[in-house]
Amino acid sequence: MRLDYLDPIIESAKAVLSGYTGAPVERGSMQLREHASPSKEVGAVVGMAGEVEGRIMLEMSRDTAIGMAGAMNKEQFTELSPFALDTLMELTNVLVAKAVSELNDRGFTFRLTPPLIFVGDNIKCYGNLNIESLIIPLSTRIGQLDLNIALRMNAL
Amino acid sequence: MQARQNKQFKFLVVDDSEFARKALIKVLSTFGGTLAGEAVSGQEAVQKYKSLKPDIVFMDITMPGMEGIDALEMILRDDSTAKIVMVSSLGHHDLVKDALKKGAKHFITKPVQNAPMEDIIRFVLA
Repeated sequence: MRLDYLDPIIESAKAVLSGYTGAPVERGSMQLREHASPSKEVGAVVGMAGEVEGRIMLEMSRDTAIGMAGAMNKEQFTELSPFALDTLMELTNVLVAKAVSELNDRGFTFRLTPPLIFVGDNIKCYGNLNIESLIIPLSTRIGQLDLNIALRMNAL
Repeated sequence: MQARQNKQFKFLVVDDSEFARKALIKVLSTFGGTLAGEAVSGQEAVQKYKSLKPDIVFMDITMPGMEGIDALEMILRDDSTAKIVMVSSLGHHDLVKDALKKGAKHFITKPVQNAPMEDIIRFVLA
Protein backbone atom coordinates (compact mmCIF):
# COMPACT_ATOMS: atom_id res chain seq x y z
CA MET A 1 0.00 0.00 0.00
CA ARG A 2 1.27 3.46 -0.80
CA LEU A 3 1.35 5.23 2.51
CA ASP A 4 1.36 8.80 1.20
CA TYR A 5 -2.39 8.52 0.63
CA LEU A 6 -3.09 7.54 4.19
CA ASP A 7 -2.95 10.97 5.79
CA PRO A 8 -5.48 12.58 3.41
CA ILE A 9 -7.81 9.62 4.00
CA ILE A 10 -7.46 9.82 7.77
CA GLU A 11 -7.87 13.60 7.82
CA SER A 12 -11.01 13.34 5.68
CA ALA A 13 -12.43 10.69 8.00
CA LYS A 14 -11.71 12.85 11.03
CA ALA A 15 -13.37 15.86 9.40
CA VAL A 16 -16.54 13.93 8.50
CA LEU A 17 -16.85 12.32 11.94
CA SER A 18 -16.14 15.59 13.67
CA GLY A 19 -18.80 17.32 11.55
CA TYR A 20 -21.46 14.76 12.40
CA THR A 21 -20.62 14.46 16.12
CA GLY A 22 -19.93 18.15 16.67
CA ALA A 23 -16.72 17.42 18.59
CA PRO A 24 -13.03 16.87 17.83
CA VAL A 25 -11.84 13.41 16.78
CA GLU A 26 -8.53 12.01 18.01
CA ARG A 27 -6.45 9.57 16.00
CA GLY A 28 -4.86 6.62 17.80
CA SER A 29 -1.87 4.45 16.90
CA MET A 30 -1.98 2.58 13.61
CA GLN A 31 -1.96 -1.22 13.63
CA LEU A 32 -1.43 -3.80 10.90
CA ARG A 33 -3.88 -6.68 10.51
CA GLU A 34 -3.16 -9.69 8.33
CA HIS A 35 -6.76 -10.81 7.85
CA ALA A 36 -9.78 -9.05 6.37
CA SER A 37 -12.25 -9.78 9.17
CA PRO A 38 -13.55 -6.94 11.33
CA SER A 39 -12.81 -7.05 15.06
CA LYS A 40 -15.94 -5.17 16.09
CA GLU A 41 -19.65 -6.04 15.89
CA VAL A 42 -20.57 -3.50 13.21
CA GLY A 43 -18.61 -2.99 10.01
CA ALA A 44 -19.67 -0.75 7.12
CA VAL A 45 -17.61 -1.23 3.98
CA VAL A 46 -17.19 0.47 0.61
CA GLY A 47 -15.20 -1.29 -2.08
CA MET A 48 -13.12 0.17 -4.91
CA ALA A 49 -12.30 -1.25 -8.32
CA GLY A 50 -10.16 0.14 -11.11
CA GLU A 51 -6.75 1.77 -10.89
CA VAL A 52 -7.31 1.84 -7.16
CA GLU A 53 -8.70 -1.36 -5.72
CA GLY A 54 -9.51 -2.65 -2.29
CA ARG A 55 -11.86 -1.39 0.37
CA ILE A 56 -12.29 0.91 3.31
CA MET A 57 -14.29 -0.30 6.27
CA LEU A 58 -15.55 1.59 9.30
CA GLU A 59 -15.76 -0.68 12.34
CA MET A 60 -17.46 0.06 15.64
CA SER A 61 -19.13 -1.58 18.60
CA ARG A 62 -22.91 -1.96 18.61
CA ASP A 63 -23.26 0.76 21.27
CA THR A 64 -21.11 3.17 19.30
CA ALA A 65 -23.09 2.38 16.15
CA ILE A 66 -26.38 3.15 17.89
CA GLY A 67 -24.93 6.33 19.40
CA MET A 68 -23.45 7.49 16.10
CA ALA A 69 -26.70 6.95 14.17
CA GLY A 70 -28.52 8.89 16.90
CA ALA A 71 -26.03 11.77 16.85
CA MET A 72 -26.24 12.05 13.07
CA ASN A 73 -30.03 12.29 13.21
CA LYS A 74 -30.11 14.34 16.42
CA GLU A 75 -32.44 11.83 18.06
CA GLN A 76 -32.18 8.92 20.48
CA PHE A 77 -31.82 5.43 19.00
CA THR A 78 -32.16 2.30 21.13
CA GLU A 79 -31.44 -0.32 18.47
CA LEU A 80 -29.87 -0.79 15.08
CA SER A 81 -33.10 -0.25 13.13
CA PRO A 82 -33.06 -0.28 9.30
CA PHE A 83 -32.94 3.54 9.40
CA ALA A 84 -30.00 3.49 11.82
CA LEU A 85 -28.16 1.06 9.52
CA ASP A 86 -28.97 3.26 6.51
CA THR A 87 -27.53 6.22 8.44
CA LEU A 88 -24.28 4.34 9.12
CA MET A 89 -23.99 3.24 5.50
CA GLU A 90 -24.39 6.84 4.38
CA LEU A 91 -21.77 7.90 6.96
CA THR A 92 -19.32 5.40 5.47
CA ASN A 93 -20.23 6.38 1.93
CA VAL A 94 -19.61 10.09 2.61
CA LEU A 95 -16.45 9.41 4.59
CA VAL A 96 -14.89 7.15 1.95
CA ALA A 97 -15.96 9.33 -0.96
CA LYS A 98 -14.51 12.46 0.60
CA ALA A 99 -11.34 10.57 1.41
CA VAL A 100 -10.81 9.21 -2.07
CA SER A 101 -11.94 12.24 -4.12
CA GLU A 102 -8.36 13.42 -3.93
CA LEU A 103 -7.26 10.19 -5.63
CA ASN A 104 -9.62 11.01 -8.49
CA ASP A 105 -8.15 14.48 -8.79
CA ARG A 106 -4.70 12.91 -9.01
CA GLY A 107 -5.83 11.05 -12.11
CA PHE A 108 -6.79 7.65 -10.77
CA THR A 109 -9.97 6.23 -12.21
CA PHE A 110 -12.02 3.81 -10.18
CA ARG A 111 -15.55 3.12 -9.09
CA LEU A 112 -16.96 2.80 -5.60
CA THR A 113 -19.37 0.06 -4.67
CA PRO A 114 -22.53 0.92 -2.75
CA PRO A 115 -21.92 0.62 1.00
CA LEU A 116 -22.60 -2.66 2.74
CA ILE A 117 -22.95 -3.18 6.48
CA PHE A 118 -22.25 -6.24 8.64
CA VAL A 119 -23.70 -6.70 12.12
CA GLY A 120 -22.84 -9.61 14.39
CA ASP A 121 -20.22 -11.26 16.56
CA ASN A 122 -17.08 -12.96 15.26
CA ILE A 123 -17.74 -12.08 11.63
CA LYS A 124 -15.27 -13.76 9.27
CA CYS A 125 -14.50 -12.17 5.91
CA TYR A 126 -12.47 -13.81 3.18
CA GLY A 127 -11.13 -12.35 -0.05
CA ASN A 128 -8.29 -12.77 -2.51
CA LEU A 129 -7.00 -9.21 -2.52
CA ASN A 130 -4.01 -10.22 -0.37
CA ILE A 131 -3.62 -6.73 1.04
CA GLU A 132 -2.99 -6.26 4.74
CA SER A 133 -5.39 -3.98 6.56
CA LEU A 134 -4.20 -0.84 8.25
CA ILE A 135 -6.30 -0.07 11.30
CA ILE A 136 -6.51 3.52 12.48
CA PRO A 137 -8.53 4.05 15.69
CA LEU A 138 -10.53 7.28 15.75
CA SER A 139 -11.87 8.41 19.13
CA THR A 140 -15.07 10.42 19.02
CA ARG A 141 -17.34 11.70 21.78
CA ILE A 142 -19.65 8.78 20.94
CA GLY A 143 -17.02 6.07 21.13
CA GLN A 144 -14.17 4.59 19.13
CA LEU A 145 -14.47 3.83 15.43
CA ASP A 146 -11.72 2.00 13.56
CA LEU A 147 -10.83 2.96 10.03
CA ASN A 148 -9.84 -0.29 8.32
CA ILE A 149 -8.01 0.44 5.06
CA ALA A 150 -6.85 -2.09 2.48
CA LEU A 151 -6.03 -0.36 -0.81
CA ARG A 152 -3.74 -1.00 -3.74
CA MET A 153 -2.80 1.50 -6.46
CA ASN A 154 -2.70 -0.58 -9.62
CA ALA A 155 -1.46 2.20 -11.89
CA LEU A 156 1.81 2.68 -10.03
CA MET B 1 -28.23 30.00 11.85
CA GLN B 2 -28.15 32.18 8.75
CA ALA B 3 -31.03 34.42 7.63
CA ARG B 4 -33.81 32.39 6.07
CA GLN B 5 -34.61 32.36 2.37
CA ASN B 6 -37.96 34.13 2.01
CA LYS B 7 -38.98 32.87 -1.41
CA GLN B 8 -41.14 29.76 -1.23
CA PHE B 9 -40.27 26.83 -3.47
CA LYS B 10 -41.27 23.20 -4.01
CA PHE B 11 -38.47 20.67 -4.11
CA LEU B 12 -37.97 17.05 -5.12
CA VAL B 13 -35.31 15.07 -3.26
CA VAL B 14 -33.70 12.09 -4.99
CA ASP B 15 -31.38 9.76 -3.06
CA ASP B 16 -31.39 6.04 -2.33
CA SER B 17 -30.40 6.73 1.28
CA GLU B 18 -33.26 7.56 3.63
CA PHE B 19 -30.83 9.36 5.93
CA ALA B 20 -29.57 11.53 3.06
CA ARG B 21 -33.13 12.43 1.98
CA LYS B 22 -34.15 13.35 5.52
CA ALA B 23 -31.02 15.46 6.02
CA LEU B 24 -31.69 17.39 2.81
CA ILE B 25 -35.39 17.87 3.60
CA LYS B 26 -34.50 19.21 7.04
CA VAL B 27 -32.01 21.73 5.62
CA LEU B 28 -34.19 22.85 2.70
CA SER B 29 -37.24 23.29 4.93
CA THR B 30 -35.37 25.91 6.95
CA PHE B 31 -34.91 27.99 3.80
CA GLY B 32 -38.53 28.25 2.70
CA GLY B 33 -38.76 24.95 0.86
CA THR B 34 -41.80 22.70 0.74
CA LEU B 35 -41.30 19.03 0.00
CA ALA B 36 -42.97 18.10 -3.30
CA GLY B 37 -41.82 14.49 -3.18
CA GLU B 38 -39.04 11.97 -2.73
CA ALA B 39 -37.50 9.47 -5.14
CA VAL B 40 -34.99 6.68 -4.54
CA SER B 41 -33.71 6.19 -8.10
CA GLY B 42 -33.14 8.10 -11.30
CA GLN B 43 -36.07 6.38 -12.95
CA GLU B 44 -38.44 7.40 -10.18
CA ALA B 45 -37.03 10.95 -10.28
CA VAL B 46 -37.92 11.28 -13.97
CA GLN B 47 -41.48 10.08 -13.32
CA LYS B 48 -41.97 12.27 -10.24
CA TYR B 49 -40.55 15.34 -11.96
CA LYS B 50 -43.21 15.01 -14.66
CA SER B 51 -46.07 14.57 -12.21
CA LEU B 52 -44.98 16.95 -9.44
CA LYS B 53 -43.32 19.76 -11.43
CA PRO B 54 -41.07 20.92 -8.57
CA ASP B 55 -39.27 24.27 -8.72
CA ILE B 56 -35.97 22.59 -7.95
CA VAL B 57 -34.57 19.05 -7.79
CA PHE B 58 -31.77 17.87 -5.51
CA MET B 59 -30.42 14.67 -7.01
CA ASP B 60 -27.81 12.20 -5.80
CA ILE B 61 -25.47 10.89 -8.48
CA THR B 62 -24.79 7.32 -7.42
CA MET B 63 -27.98 5.30 -7.11
CA PRO B 64 -29.04 1.77 -8.00
CA GLY B 65 -30.62 1.46 -11.44
CA MET B 66 -30.62 4.74 -13.34
CA GLU B 67 -27.93 7.04 -11.93
CA GLY B 68 -28.42 10.73 -11.24
CA ILE B 69 -26.51 12.01 -14.26
CA ASP B 70 -28.70 9.94 -16.62
CA ALA B 71 -31.85 11.16 -14.87
CA LEU B 72 -30.59 14.74 -15.16
CA GLU B 73 -30.26 14.34 -18.93
CA MET B 74 -33.70 12.73 -19.28
CA ILE B 75 -35.45 15.43 -17.26
CA LEU B 76 -33.72 18.19 -19.22
CA ARG B 77 -34.66 16.53 -22.51
CA ASP B 78 -38.33 16.92 -21.54
CA ASP B 79 -38.00 20.26 -19.79
CA SER B 80 -34.95 22.35 -20.65
CA THR B 81 -35.85 24.83 -17.90
CA ALA B 82 -35.61 22.25 -15.12
CA LYS B 83 -33.46 23.40 -12.21
CA ILE B 84 -31.44 20.47 -10.95
CA VAL B 85 -28.76 20.51 -8.27
CA MET B 86 -26.55 17.44 -8.15
CA VAL B 87 -25.60 16.08 -4.74
CA SER B 88 -22.75 13.66 -4.28
CA SER B 89 -20.40 12.33 -1.67
CA LEU B 90 -17.72 12.31 -4.39
CA GLY B 91 -16.48 15.81 -5.17
CA HIS B 92 -13.70 15.30 -7.67
CA HIS B 93 -13.29 17.79 -10.51
CA ASP B 94 -14.23 15.51 -13.42
CA LEU B 95 -17.54 14.56 -11.86
CA VAL B 96 -18.46 18.18 -11.08
CA LYS B 97 -17.49 19.33 -14.60
CA ASP B 98 -19.47 16.51 -16.19
CA ALA B 99 -22.61 17.33 -14.20
CA LEU B 100 -22.43 21.04 -14.99
CA LYS B 101 -21.71 20.36 -18.67
CA LYS B 102 -24.81 18.20 -18.85
CA GLY B 103 -27.02 20.96 -17.49
CA ALA B 104 -26.93 20.78 -13.69
CA LYS B 105 -27.36 24.22 -12.13
CA HIS B 106 -25.14 23.51 -9.16
CA PHE B 107 -23.19 20.78 -7.40
CA ILE B 108 -23.15 20.03 -3.68
CA THR B 109 -20.85 17.61 -1.90
CA LYS B 110 -22.13 15.76 1.14
CA PRO B 111 -22.58 16.27 4.02
CA VAL B 112 -25.23 18.75 2.86
CA GLN B 113 -25.24 20.48 6.24
CA ASN B 114 -21.93 22.07 5.23
CA ALA B 115 -23.23 23.52 1.94
CA PRO B 116 -24.06 27.25 1.67
CA MET B 117 -27.65 26.26 0.92
CA GLU B 118 -29.29 29.68 1.09
CA ASP B 119 -26.90 31.07 -1.54
CA ILE B 120 -27.32 27.99 -3.74
CA ILE B 121 -31.12 28.18 -3.65
CA ARG B 122 -31.09 31.91 -4.42
CA PHE B 123 -28.66 31.41 -7.30
CA VAL B 124 -30.48 28.46 -8.84
CA LEU B 125 -33.98 29.94 -8.57
CA ALA B 126 -32.92 33.39 -9.82
